[in-house]
Order: sequence, then structure tokens, then C-alpha cells
Amino acid sequence: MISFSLAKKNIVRKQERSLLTIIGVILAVGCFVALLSISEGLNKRLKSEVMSRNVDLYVLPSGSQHLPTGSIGAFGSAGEEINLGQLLPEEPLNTEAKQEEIAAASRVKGDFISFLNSSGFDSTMVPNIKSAIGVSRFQKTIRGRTVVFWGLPFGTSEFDGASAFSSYLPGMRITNGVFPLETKEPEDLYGFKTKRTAEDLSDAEKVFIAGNKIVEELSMSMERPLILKKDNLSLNLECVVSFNAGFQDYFCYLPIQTAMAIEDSHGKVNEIWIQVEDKSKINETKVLLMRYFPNLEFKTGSEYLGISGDLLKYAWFLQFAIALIGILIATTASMNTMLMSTFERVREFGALRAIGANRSTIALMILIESLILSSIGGAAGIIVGILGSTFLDGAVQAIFQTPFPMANITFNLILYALCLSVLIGVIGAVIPIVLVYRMEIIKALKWDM
Amino acid sequence: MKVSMQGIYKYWKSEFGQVRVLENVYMDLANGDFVAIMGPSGTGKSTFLHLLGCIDRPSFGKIFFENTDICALSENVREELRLEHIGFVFQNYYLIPTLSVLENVMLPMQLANSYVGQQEDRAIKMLELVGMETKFNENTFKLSGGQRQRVATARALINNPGLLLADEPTGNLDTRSTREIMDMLRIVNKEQSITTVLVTHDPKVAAYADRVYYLDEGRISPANL
Ligand SMILES: Nc1ncnc2c1ncn2[C@@H]1O[C@H](COP(=O)(O)OP(=O)(O)OP(=O)(O)O)[C@@H](O)[C@H]1O
Ligand SMILES: [Mg+2]
Repeated sequence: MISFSLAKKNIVRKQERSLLTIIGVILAVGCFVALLSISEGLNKRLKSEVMSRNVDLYVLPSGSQHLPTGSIGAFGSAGEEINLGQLLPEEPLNTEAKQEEIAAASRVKGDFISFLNSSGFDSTMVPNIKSAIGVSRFQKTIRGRTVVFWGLPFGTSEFDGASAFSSYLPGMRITNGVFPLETKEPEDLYGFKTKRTAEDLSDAEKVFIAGNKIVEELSMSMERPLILKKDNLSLNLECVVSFNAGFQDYFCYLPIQTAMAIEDSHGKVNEIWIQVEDKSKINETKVLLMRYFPNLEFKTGSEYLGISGDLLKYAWFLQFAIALIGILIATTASMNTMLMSTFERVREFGALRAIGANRSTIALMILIESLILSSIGGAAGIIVGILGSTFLDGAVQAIFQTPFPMANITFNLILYALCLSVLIGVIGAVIPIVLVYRMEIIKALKWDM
Repeated sequence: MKVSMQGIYKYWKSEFGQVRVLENVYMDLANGDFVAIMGPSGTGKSTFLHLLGCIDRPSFGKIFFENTDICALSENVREELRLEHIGFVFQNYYLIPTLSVLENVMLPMQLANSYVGQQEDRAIKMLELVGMETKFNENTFKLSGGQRQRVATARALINNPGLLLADEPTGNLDTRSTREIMDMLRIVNKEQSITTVLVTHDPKVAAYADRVYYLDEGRISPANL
């Protein structure tokens, strides 16, 4: 194809100019990839974190904000807590049948922990509920880094801690140490080995489990206890786990009693996680629960993710807006170089036309030239963006003091970046092509620059 | 190709209003005619050739190729005419600087999408014909004026045009090369009956033509040599 070989020859001949255009595109695409890798990564990790949980319904304090909370890493309602003592509806329902239900439900009142630990709601109260656990969440700065702690019910004798833990957070593997507490069936399905029996409860409250990544990041060790400033509480790392999903490998997990003690929030949790028997009836279950607990919110997994997903979209657009500045500069630069190279070659275009080249051949030549430059720039820009993303990630980690990397170069991001570089190429070719279509050959031949 | 120019006027716009370059030009060329145009500098010889070559349009008048008025044709058709039926040797050569000698000569064939296997052979043959057989892969900007002129001539002939327009094709050549090129043009003209119009200042070159015209102050008249 003659347009292609002419374009190629011109790129090679005007090396400095070609290089400048390429650099412009590299900067724009690199900037785009690096910036958006952060929100892409955050999005992907949160999604995989939420999706990898085996939770059918989330119970949240009403009116709470659903955010990736403070540390950016944890996911869910921010700030507010559910007071377990106030779970019952204020106004009793009137019918006799309902009265019975409330009577059954009143078992919830009081010590919710024991309620939870005795494997959840009574199925006569709200049918279809298999089990429920309360979780609390807080964060601490440890060795200059913000670490998210999850309080989960694995610290009591009545509760089959290990299996419940792993039933809500499936895919957990123990990579080091042994699970702190005994399970009903030692070395059960999950292959947990347990360390202590139920008699060692007080000890059990001073243990924690950590994801393998946070262990690495903060060089925690089994030998060295983790001292939390307040109360000089020292926690022993009993077991290192790995999930390979979202941020879960960057969290620390505690018995919920310990979490409540540390946070001084006895009887309060941040969320309640529910598993149902029949997933197809999840909406009916949700409606029923909403009637019992009008002061709480109930969200399915996708609703829970959806709210935060919206927020992430805003973050995406914000970062895109910043990247846009770079993109505009690069597009202008590329337009400018293409235009300059067109002006320089007006005579040549005139000569091509005079010997019979048609306008579309020349337009195609300009477009190909611009596209070759912008795709080379785009490809190199993606590499620069990946490097920049690592750098930016380090900076973000340092500023927010999070221990987890957030950047992630997704397939979509690379696809967008490629589209972007093609777009820059096309835009750069537009004005020269219009000029070629409008020029008179005789004027072009006499053109001086 | 049979060519007929009828009542051609050409004006240029300038700061002082319109400047008339060609005035009421008539000329008829039969298939295979070989004519020369002479005249002082700046009298419109190149302008005249550009009009014939479909590179520019007259302000008034008609130009017929066979029986078609080329001035009334769309730009797309004129592009095709230029590529396939007209060979043009420009006064300033207008070679493509990014291409080598051989590539420049092959270019019109490539633009016309002619059979790829033939392109190089034919380009080499044309270059041999103009005496440029040793510089195929040279960059054109390294060539002398005379060499460029010869490459431009080879390029003009490559698509077997019906009409060859040459604007001082020997302007930069020595006497011997001039004779070689003119002999060659004459032979090609005879063998393929290419209608040929050439502009020259050199009476010896003009002597090769069947007829000579004189262009002065925009008016054309047969010259009495
Ligand atoms: N594009 C243009 N715009 C305005 N004036 C032009 C243009 N092209 C040519 N002219 C003018 O038209 C006149 C004829 O120019 P042309 O190039 O045809 O002369 P020429 O006979 O070929 O001269 P030479 O022998 O020096 O090549 C000149 O006065 C020139 O200044
Ligand atoms: Mg001239």
C-alpha cells in the first residue's frame, strides 16, 4: 500500500519530529494509565473482596455512609455502629401471630453476641436465615502504617469459630501457625489445626490472625507480640492466612470480644453478616427483616457493592479529569507536529497530486503516519504508565499510610489507553487532512515555508 | 491524444487587481503531434502547461481531450486523467524527497495500482532510457539538477501517457545529454504516438518539434524559425 510506505518513509526521515510526537503521546497515555490504575485497582480489589465473601445479606446501621472507609481499604459502612441491645423494633406489631414472632425475636435482645454465637437467628423467627455473625471493624496505626482490624466471632467455646470464619470468608488457607481455637471437629473440613481448648478463653482474647501480605509488609512475626498502645494490650500472632482475594490478605482478624474491648464498644458491631438457606428467596427475607428492624438497613451483596461502586466511579472520573489535562496537552502537541509537518510538505503534497495521487491517498498517508506515531507512543506510554503506577502507588501508600498497594493495571485500562492513543492519532490528522482536501495544486506547488 | 484549446484566458489575482497571463489562446494538437513552445521568461508558458496538465483551470475557455471538456470534469476524474493519461516534467522537477530515484519513478505505477511484478522492471527500463542506470537507490536530494530532470522525465513516461508535457526538460543538461534526451523523446513520441508539448528556451531543442509556437504577453502564435 503506497500510503503506508510513504507514511513510513516520512516518519523515518523526520526523526526528531516523530520522536517529539511520540514523547507527547507517551506522556499523555502514561499519565492516564498511572492515574487510573489506582482507581481501577481499588475497584477490582474491593469487588473481589466483597464477591469472595460468602455473605448474602448485610445489615448496616441506618443512614450510614457506605464508603470504602477511612483507610481506603476496608469496605462498608463508615463510622456508625449497630447497637445490639436495640435491635428490636420500637413499636410491637399488633397481630397475635406477630406477637409470637416478637417473643421469639426477643431472644435477640440482650446479649446479641451469645445470640449470634448460638448460630444465629431462630429459623422460626425469620425463616430462611442459616446463620448470622456480627463483625466490627477498626483501624490502628502500626509502625507508621494504617492497618484494618476485623472483629469476627471466632473466640468462644460455643461457636465453631474456625468453620464459621472460613464459611463467611471462604478460600482461606493457613500458611503459617495454627488456628487459635479449637473447632468442634478438630482438623475438620478446612484442615484447621487448633491450638487451644475452650478452657483457655482468656488467652484466646489476646490472639490475632493476620493476612500473609500484612505480615510481609510490616514484618510481623509469630515470636513478637503486637503491642497496641491503648491499655498496652499485646496480641500474639497465632496464625497467618491467605485468601488471594481483594484486600483480605492485608487485614488483621481478631476475636470480636477483643475488638470490642479495644474499641470500648461492648455490644456494638459495625455490620451483621447473614447467610440464607435459599438464595432465591433472599428478597423476601430482606423485606421481612426490614419489618422487624426498621432502624437498620439490609443490603444484598450487589447492593452493598453498588453503593460503593458509584463512589468509585466518581473517583475514576476525578482521576480521568486530571489525566485529561495531560491528554489535552499531548493531543495539542501531536496536532501541532502533524500540522507543522504538513505545512513543510505542502509542496510535496502538491507534487503528489500533480502526478495523479488522489486526495484520499494523501489523506490516508497522513492518517497512517499520525496513527503509527500515536500507537508507538501509546504502547510506550502504557509501559511508562505501568512504571508510573508503581511509583504513584508508593506515593499514595506513603501519604495515606496504607500497607496495601492499590494500583492495578487491568485489561480494560490497557484497552482504554490504546483507544486513547488511536484517538490522539486521529485528532492529530484531522486538520492536515482538511487542508489537503481544500488546497489547490497550483498554490501548493508554489508554497514557501 | 487529440487536444484542442479554445479561447483560453487565465488571470491571476494580485495586489493591483487582476493580471492577465493568457489571452484568447487557441491551439489544436493531433494525436502524436510534437510541438515546442518558446517565449520570454514570465509570459505564461508554465501556466499554459499546467492548464493542459489538469493541474490548474483556465479563467475562461475550454480544453478538449478527444471530445471531452476537461475543465468541466470533477476533481476526481481529473486526478485519474493526470495519473493515467498525462505525463508532466515540471520545471522544478518536484521529485518526492523521501523516495529514492527508483521509487520516484515507480510511484505513478503504484498510485495507479498497476501490476506489482512489472513496476520495478519498467521503472528500471525508463531510467535506462534517460541515462540514469547507475543511481537507482540514490536519494533524490543528492542528485544534480540535470539528473533530477532526467528522473522526472522517466517518471512522466512510466504510465504510458497519451499526452506528455515537459517544462524545459533539458534546461539543466549539457549539449550531449540534451541531444540524448531529445532523441529519446522523439522516438517515444513516434513509437507510442504520445502527443508532446515542450517548453524550451533552446532553439536547438525546439528544432526537434513538428511545430513551434511563440508565447508572448499571453498571446500565442506560430513561430517562424
Ligand atoms: N499562482 C500564481 N499566482 C499569481 N501569479 C502567478 C502564479 N503563477 C504564475 N504567476 C504569474 O504569471 C506569470 C507567468 O508565469 P509562468 O510561470 O507561467 O511563466 P513562464 O513563462 O513559465 O516563465 P519562465 O520561463 O521563467 O518559467 C508570471 O508573471 C507569474 O508571476
Ligand atoms: Mg516556466
